[in-house]
Amino acid sequence: MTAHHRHESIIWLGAAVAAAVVLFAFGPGIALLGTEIMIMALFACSLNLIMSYGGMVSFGHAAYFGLGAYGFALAIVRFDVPPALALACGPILALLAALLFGSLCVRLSHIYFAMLTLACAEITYAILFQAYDFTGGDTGLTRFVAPRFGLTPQLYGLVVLVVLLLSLLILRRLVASPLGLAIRSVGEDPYRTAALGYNPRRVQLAAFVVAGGFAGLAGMLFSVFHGNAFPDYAGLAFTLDALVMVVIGGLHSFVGPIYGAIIYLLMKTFISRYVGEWELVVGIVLMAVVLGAPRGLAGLAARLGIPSGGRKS
Amino acid sequence: MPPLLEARNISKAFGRFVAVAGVDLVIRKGERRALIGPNGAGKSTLLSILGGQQAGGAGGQVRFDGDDVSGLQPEDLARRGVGRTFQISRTFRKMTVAENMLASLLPRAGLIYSLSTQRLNILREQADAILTEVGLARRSGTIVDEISHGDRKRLEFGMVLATRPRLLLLDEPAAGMGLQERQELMAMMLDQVTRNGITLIFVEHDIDIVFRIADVITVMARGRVFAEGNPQEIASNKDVQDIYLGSGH
Amino acid sequence: MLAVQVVNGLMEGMMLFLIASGLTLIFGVSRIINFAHGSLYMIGAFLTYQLVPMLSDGTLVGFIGAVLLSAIAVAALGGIFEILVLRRIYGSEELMQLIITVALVLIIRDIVKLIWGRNDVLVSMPAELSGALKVADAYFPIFQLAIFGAGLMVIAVMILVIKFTRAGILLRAATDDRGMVALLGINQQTIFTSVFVAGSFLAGLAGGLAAPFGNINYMLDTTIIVGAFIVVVIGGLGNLYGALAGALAVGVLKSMGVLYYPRLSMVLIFLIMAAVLVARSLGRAGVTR
Ligand SMILES: Nc1ncnc2c1ncn2[C@@H]1O[C@H](COP(=O)(O)OP(=O)(O)O)[C@@H](O)[C@H]1O
Ligand SMILES: [Mg+2]
Repeated sequence: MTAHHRHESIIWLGAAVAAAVVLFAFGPGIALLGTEIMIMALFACSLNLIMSYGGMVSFGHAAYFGLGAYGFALAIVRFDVPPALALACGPILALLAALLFGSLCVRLSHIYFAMLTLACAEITYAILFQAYDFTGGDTGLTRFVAPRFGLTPQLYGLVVLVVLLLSLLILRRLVASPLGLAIRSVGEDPYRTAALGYNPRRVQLAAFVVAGGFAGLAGMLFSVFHGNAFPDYAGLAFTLDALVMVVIGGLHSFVGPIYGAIIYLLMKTFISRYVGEWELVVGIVLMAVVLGAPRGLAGLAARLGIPSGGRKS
Repeated sequence: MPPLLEARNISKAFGRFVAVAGVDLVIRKGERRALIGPNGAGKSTLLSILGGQQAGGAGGQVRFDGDDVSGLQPEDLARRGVGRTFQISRTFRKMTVAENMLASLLPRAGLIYSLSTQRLNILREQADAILTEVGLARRSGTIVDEISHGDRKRLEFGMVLATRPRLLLLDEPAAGMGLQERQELMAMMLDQVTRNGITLIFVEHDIDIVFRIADVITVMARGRVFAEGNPQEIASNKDVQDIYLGSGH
Repeated sequence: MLAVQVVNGLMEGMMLFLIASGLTLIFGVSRIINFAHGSLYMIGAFLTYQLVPMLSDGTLVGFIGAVLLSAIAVAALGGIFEILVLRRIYGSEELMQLIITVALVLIIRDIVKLIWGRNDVLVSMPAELSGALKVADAYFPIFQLAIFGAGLMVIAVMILVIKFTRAGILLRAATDDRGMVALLGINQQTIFTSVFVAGSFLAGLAGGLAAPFGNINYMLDTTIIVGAFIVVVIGGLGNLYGALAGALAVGVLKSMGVLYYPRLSMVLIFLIMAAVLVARSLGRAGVTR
């Protein structure tokens, strides 16, 4: 157990150092790409918590990403909150929205759950899109801070790396905790847990709120990254991006979404340089994964002996 | 002493089909009650109503330990001490046997919302102890999907045991097993029930087991109680022999 | 003005029904939520755009011919997808089935971009259907009335098929209880394929019929699928008549909303969808076994 832990810690440390080296070694272009990958990886990991562990498929996870961005942006633009404090407003707004929407959504299961999360996200999107006076509507909010607060791409990348690592540490602890076990149990069979004395809906809500909070953190980082906020950040396209990352990376694995984010954004960046139709390639890869390797990249990696941080403890 | 469970005029319909039609069931503390009857008689549905799985969807009144518990959610009933297994065992199939036990211990320990891994580790001893009791100690690290049908029945029983039930509802606990395994399993379960002072309601098709274990037998047919009495009374009841034993079981 | 708006709404509702009917049909039988349903609709629209000039531009015959051919082509496409891909994953996790249809969305969108580019295209209105009908003081566009009529015809055909043909009886059996069909000794696979083909046909048909009505571009897929989800959820997944009621209600509400609360109409529709779902959750049933 401890030897295993040490082994795992070394891998994490190695990956973190490697990420830092990549950020600084290849110029600002790569640093920007690396930062976007890390932000999306955090977003996908938050979705993975409810999908792989909580057994809930959300079609509306981008709502909390978008609200993370808008919580930050609106705090500065409309309420003159000092930027340092505004950073916290993003995730908090997302968390509160997840609490509100989640308490409705967890009353449903399967496809009906997914549909209600979609409705909640589309309501969020529509409000962001149509409340011109407050949110700026479809033109979004821009020029309220310098992108990355004026930090160099490398330095901001390092900040995001640290936030990502801390978040993963927290999520990892959560998954290994009693609450994590409860989330997995409810994810597998809510009726069984109810017969054991759980309130399954409340456990699902706990997972949903945590996931919403981390999605909001990712959204806030994204808003700082670009120095803007647009309704699209809460749109279906972002949700689908995260879903695709989780599946390509590997369902039921802790690190899968990170692999997924890397592959997805590398494909997007490099394939689109040569052919405009990179999504076609993503679609084909996705189909191949579902048909041929339902455990995704993490599953393939595990077969090669690379720990996937799977659910066995 | 008031009865531990007193269910009056229990009924449940699925659409227009009436699965349980006005059943009364009164169970003493410490009693072992068998529920028998042909397939489709409504036995599982009755257990579901008692276990809260039909919360709000059934008619009649249920009193448990003096309190009106009609319409309560399964989690509320479980917390009050009503535990149950299902006809098709419900376990967490993608988790290990030990994790199944740990998950079952969380509600009693008040740790469902805890983030302390240490507290979880403390529960491991209890989990191992129960696994030993139900004869699964050697399976503790195995994923449930990979254990046998009989072991899954043992596990589900152990999981319910972990909630420290006062009333245990077992739905065909020994079905689908060979004779010897069935007898061993029933002996183990009975031993636990006795030692922990648990009141028992069980559904079983094996008449030998029923007659050996039950204090009182309730015979159901088409959603109603058809006969009720101690094993001798039931064994000598001509109608029961016709209806139940004559229907191919 | 109000009457025009109601007719507009009914016509849009009928379009929504044509789209949603295929989606709900497939779900009812195969339990597949086809994210790519909007993509099939989009292909129907683009194919109609392609075929109309080849047949007879601007005439009713050319238009109807193009729409039917497009719908058939889309149905064939759906059949190929079902046989080659979907068939392998009926038994697996719900999520995987969903993701594979999302993959199809991505693939179709890029293929459409490759073939027809990124700009909007237009299909000319058949001459016979342009213009408006003047009733009292209001003008009702003939094309919209025609679409409504076409929708009614599709409904009539569907009801006839479902009520009176062997296929319809099987379909009802399969929707109510999938074990039932197996008991009847019918190959479940054949039913799944047929239903997917029929659903795809309806998507293609809807796309073709709507083609002259607005701009056609590669971004139609998500707009359409989200609209169809709303209707299907409001009507009850797998419920054809529910979808009709839901579609007409949403259509009318939308056009009234545009009239009175233009900035709220989008939110309003999703609020109704959410309310329907929450209401349904209040009456949830338990489990027995
Ligand atoms: N969820 C359900 N929906 C519809 N009918 C059900 C449901 N559960 C049970 N039934 C029906 O109710 C009747 C009684 O079922 P059950 O209680 O399982 O009987 P038993 O356990 O005595 O064999 C059966 O005819 C069964 O088909
Ligand atoms: Mg039964």
